[in-house]
Amino acid sequence: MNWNEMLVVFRKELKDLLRDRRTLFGMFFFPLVLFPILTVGFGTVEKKTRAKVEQERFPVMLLHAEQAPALAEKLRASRNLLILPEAADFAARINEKQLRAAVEFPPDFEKQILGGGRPKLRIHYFAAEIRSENAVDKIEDVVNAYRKDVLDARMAAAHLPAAALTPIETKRESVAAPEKVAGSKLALILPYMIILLCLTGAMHPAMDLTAGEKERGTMETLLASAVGRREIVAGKFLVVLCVSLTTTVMSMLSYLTTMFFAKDYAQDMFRGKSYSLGIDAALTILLLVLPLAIFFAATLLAMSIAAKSYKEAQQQIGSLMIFAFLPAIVGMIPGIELTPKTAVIPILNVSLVAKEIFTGNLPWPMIGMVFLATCVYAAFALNAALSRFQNESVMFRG
Amino acid sequence: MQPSNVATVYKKELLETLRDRRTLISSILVPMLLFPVLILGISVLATLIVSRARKDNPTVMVLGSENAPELSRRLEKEKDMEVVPPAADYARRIDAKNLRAAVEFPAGVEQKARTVNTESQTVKIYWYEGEFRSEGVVRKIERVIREFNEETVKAALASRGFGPDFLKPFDVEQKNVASAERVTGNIVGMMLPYMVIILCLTGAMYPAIDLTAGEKERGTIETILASPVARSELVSGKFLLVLTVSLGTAALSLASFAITILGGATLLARISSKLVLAVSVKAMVAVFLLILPVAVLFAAALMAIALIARSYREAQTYLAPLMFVVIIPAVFSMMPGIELTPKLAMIPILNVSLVAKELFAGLYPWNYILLIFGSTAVYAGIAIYFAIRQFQREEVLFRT
Amino acid sequence: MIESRQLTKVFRDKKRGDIRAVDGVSFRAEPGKIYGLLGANGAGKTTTLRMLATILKPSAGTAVVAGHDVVAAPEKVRKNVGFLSTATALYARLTAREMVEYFGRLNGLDEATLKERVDEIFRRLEMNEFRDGKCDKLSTGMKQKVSIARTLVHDPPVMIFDEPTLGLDVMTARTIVQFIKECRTRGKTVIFSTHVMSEVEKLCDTIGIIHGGRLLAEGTLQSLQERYSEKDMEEIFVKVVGA
Repeated sequence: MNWNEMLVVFRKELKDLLRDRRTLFGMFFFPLVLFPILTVGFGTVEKKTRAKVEQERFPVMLLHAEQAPALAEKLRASRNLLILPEAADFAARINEKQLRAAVEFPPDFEKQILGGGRPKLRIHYFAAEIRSENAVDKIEDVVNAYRKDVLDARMAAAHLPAAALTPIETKRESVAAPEKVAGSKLALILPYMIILLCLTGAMHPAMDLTAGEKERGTMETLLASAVGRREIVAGKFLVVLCVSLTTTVMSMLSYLTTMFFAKDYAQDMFRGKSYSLGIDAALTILLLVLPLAIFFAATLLAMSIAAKSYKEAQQQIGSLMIFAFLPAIVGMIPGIELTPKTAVIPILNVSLVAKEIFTGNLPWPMIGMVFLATCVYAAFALNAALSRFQNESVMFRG
Repeated sequence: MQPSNVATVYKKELLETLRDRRTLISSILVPMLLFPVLILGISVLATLIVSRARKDNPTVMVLGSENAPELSRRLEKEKDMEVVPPAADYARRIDAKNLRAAVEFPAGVEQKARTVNTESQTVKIYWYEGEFRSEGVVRKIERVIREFNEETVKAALASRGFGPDFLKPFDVEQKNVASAERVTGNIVGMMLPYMVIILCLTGAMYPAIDLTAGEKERGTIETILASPVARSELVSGKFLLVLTVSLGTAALSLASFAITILGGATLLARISSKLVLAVSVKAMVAVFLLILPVAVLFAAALMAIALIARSYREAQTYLAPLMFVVIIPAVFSMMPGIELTPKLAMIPILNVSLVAKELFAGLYPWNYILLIFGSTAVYAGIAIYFAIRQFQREEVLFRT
Repeated sequence: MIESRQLTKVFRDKKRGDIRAVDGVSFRAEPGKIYGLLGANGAGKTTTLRMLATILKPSAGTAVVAGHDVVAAPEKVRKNVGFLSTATALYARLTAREMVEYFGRLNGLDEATLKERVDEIFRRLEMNEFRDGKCDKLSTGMKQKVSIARTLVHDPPVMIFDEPTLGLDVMTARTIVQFIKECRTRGKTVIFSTHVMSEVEKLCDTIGIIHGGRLLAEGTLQSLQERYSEKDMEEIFVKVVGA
């Protein structure tokens, strides 16, 4: 391999690509902007919606409230319930979403309770409708408190301590280190996004440098020059790799910066725990992404060299992208963990290991396995790319 | 403007489009398959996760089992959970995910529990907060203890002459009063309207680019402009084609969805036995009519923008941000609890989605419906006007 | 008949200011004769022809083509014009027949007449072999024939060709030249642009030399040879333009 020749190709392709607005956009602007927007955006929306739900007063109706004066009183006093006057068309109004729920007291409700009976209270609502279900939750909160009062009274009347109702109380104690607590769904998505950006970062340059070159008519000229095929592939491959890695690094930087500066928003997402990465964790992730990026770059080059035009390359690669995203998504499912078996499945393994690292673990043996496995896949992909470049029927299709 | 010319242009564009594989895939195949695959996929995935979680038995440690023989026995008998011998390093093992939880019984806890005390006793459960499997076993442990509590209390009360109803002063029953159609509509309305809107947009995108920037790239635009067809007729014919494809995509998605729901009703019933599902045809039709001006708006806007581009690739670069502008409100509207309010009714496209939600839930807020339909129609009209203007500008048609 | 009257086209370029691509061009092309517009790249040939075909609107001046004014009645002009340019662009996914039929319909032919004409043209140009082949699968020669067919289908009295043989091999170029001669024989008004001197010498009855948007010289081959004391068209051209 003639390194000088390869560098000539590399430098030109890099210069060319860096003048392309679309590449710059994907490499710098997009990753830097994405994380802040996601965090701040979602954080704000989540905060606001939760605040709204806390403050909301659900319109609710009480039917035959005179049968349960004490409980009705408690319901009326609830901050989250707005009691409307009784009406016969409550069912229709619930259907129309003007009323969220209706509490129906049977005849002699409280009298029966005092007498040791067991009356049935009915709550009418709109199944699977968010606000109706929330209203029912709030109603049940009050009802449960009332039930507790009744039980306490009964226990007192029977000369029994109230604590006798719960002989054993359980208390949960988390023994995982505080940084390790997994947060909301977004925290699970982030490792996946890094892989995603690594891949999409490589897509445009890979297609542009192969199919795009064919389309512009310059491929033939390049092949007719003195530089060898190996050097051409190596030069182009390195450019794609550089772009892909830059995109990944930019995203990681963006993520870390966002976590640092937007702490309040981040805290809402991560349940009050700050969710930053240690330097060693960040470096480990980059180390793992390296063979993955090589794998992506080589595979994309091999695939797009067969296309006659950029458009055709896009169509082919687009449909195959799903197969790349799928393992990454599967890795996000809670319950799927890093095991020796999953450590050899390409892309999925990196996703799983990233998940571990993001929660503060550094399982070195697994990391080693994933790194090795990905390196092997990368080597295969590189080989495939080279052989395609040397295949005339692929290079001069149509 | 001659309708016959418009028809000729339209028919030719239709013929060409139907022969294009990519349009067939994105406008026919995808909408037809998307919903069934999505719904099936989710249910399969859900079953998979549950069965996998059940397979590898999570491990639990019992510390001080001699203090609670009955409870320990029950925990051992518990299915889908394995009790391992106690060890001092339980905290480390939980942290390393080798152990899912450890429950600690203090001295004499069971004995004391069977007598009446003025204080409750505390049993600690050590776990990995937020971790899926750990949460699972902790819930099991809590349930076992809760059942024990209930039994003990019942026995204690019985020995004093109190019946089991002592602990249950009253019952609470939840009764759903919403019709099956409304319940379905409500659930469906959370996601479906926006998905259809997005499909309308993606369905229209490719033909819009193909018929404008694509023609420029292929060099056929000059040929057609030299023929007697007027610019306005040309625009109309092309626009109608893009609209047809866009609406076709929307209609196919809705139909596919309806069929999936009806056909897969049994599958869904297994997941949630509370819900009986039904589809309101009236709502579907109403939503389709509502989406009509949105489709017109998309078709015209996409064409007007794509015409500026010189090539396919360029057009895609211009239109990609548009996708984002439409998707972000989509995600927003799908969040639970977002309902149609006067403020939100001002935002184009988002308002259509929200009003469609209401329609699915069986509500017909006519003032909103008319307002939103009207405003979207106005936007659509403006977009059409721009598209026609674009086609009349030489700098746009012959960009170099 | 084509009569151009002070035809002018000004393009606004953001960086370079106003560009007078065509500047006060006037000439006449008679029926049954071939008028050749000769000029280098960027001289204004394509822009002039596009204005005659009403694809572009003149900034100033006008032209009367087949009895109609290009500014006042462009649609009527287009009905009487057949336009063929360098991009032998065809609709890739249509068959040869569909391609020709489409333009026939756009030109207002009713179905009966259309069928007749299509059959006739396909026969004359020997296109029946690839009648139902998709345009993107045809060879360059076949594509060229399809382009000719669709230009001819409505039998227009005026034919405008913009560099029709650019990039074509010898045999295909001959077909085009043959076709252009046939148009003349049939009494059509023909104007075509080129920068291939041999074509000019072989085909043109009247030659117009255009440079920098202006018509610098005009006349029959003989009159130009006499005026500039040169036999070779190339030398004449250089003299005209150089001055």
